[in-house]
Amino acid sequence: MNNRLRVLRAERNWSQADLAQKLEVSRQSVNAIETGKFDPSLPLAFRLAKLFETTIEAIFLEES
Amino acid sequence: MKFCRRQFSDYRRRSMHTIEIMMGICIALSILLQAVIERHSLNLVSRFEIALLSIAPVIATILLLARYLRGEKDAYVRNLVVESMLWGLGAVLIAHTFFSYFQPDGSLIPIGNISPDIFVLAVSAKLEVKLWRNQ
Repeated sequence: MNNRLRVLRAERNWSQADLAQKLEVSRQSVNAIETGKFDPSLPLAFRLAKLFETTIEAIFLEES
Repeated sequence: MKFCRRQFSDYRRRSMHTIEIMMGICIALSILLQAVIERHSLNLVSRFEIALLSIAPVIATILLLARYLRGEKDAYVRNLVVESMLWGLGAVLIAHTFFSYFQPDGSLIPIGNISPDIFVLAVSAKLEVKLWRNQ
């Protein structure tokens, strides 16, 4: 699944490790989500949306 | 496994450390029991007892892994561990199937005794490859 996680993270000058710490997951998880290798669970998607103060749909984009 | 030494949570590090110790016991016990069987002529009851003793740490490892997976909050890591365990089980199954054809002539490798070794090696290798590819 495509996502805007890298962009949103860069806008806030957060490293993958920073984001991982805020989400309480491993840095590898953040990298896997950013590169589209792993789709996050719904609770994690909600945590991401809350953290970036946006909606899940604004972060994750449906693949056409 | 370097897996447990990286920047992971205390829970993950502690669980992995305990699982590593138990797997180490599995391997050490399999070597020790094999040596006992080779050096002594044992009756059926003693062999049964040794067989029971050999599976005790294997069962303990499975229970520890199950407990760890239940408590692991990071879905990605949980998937990674489950996938690596499936690779480990696959490697054991492949090795058993392959070496079972040597049995009638007397197997060169007592494959049953090195199952924990194969499992640990395959799981560790898969974990390391997955983590390396996801740096």
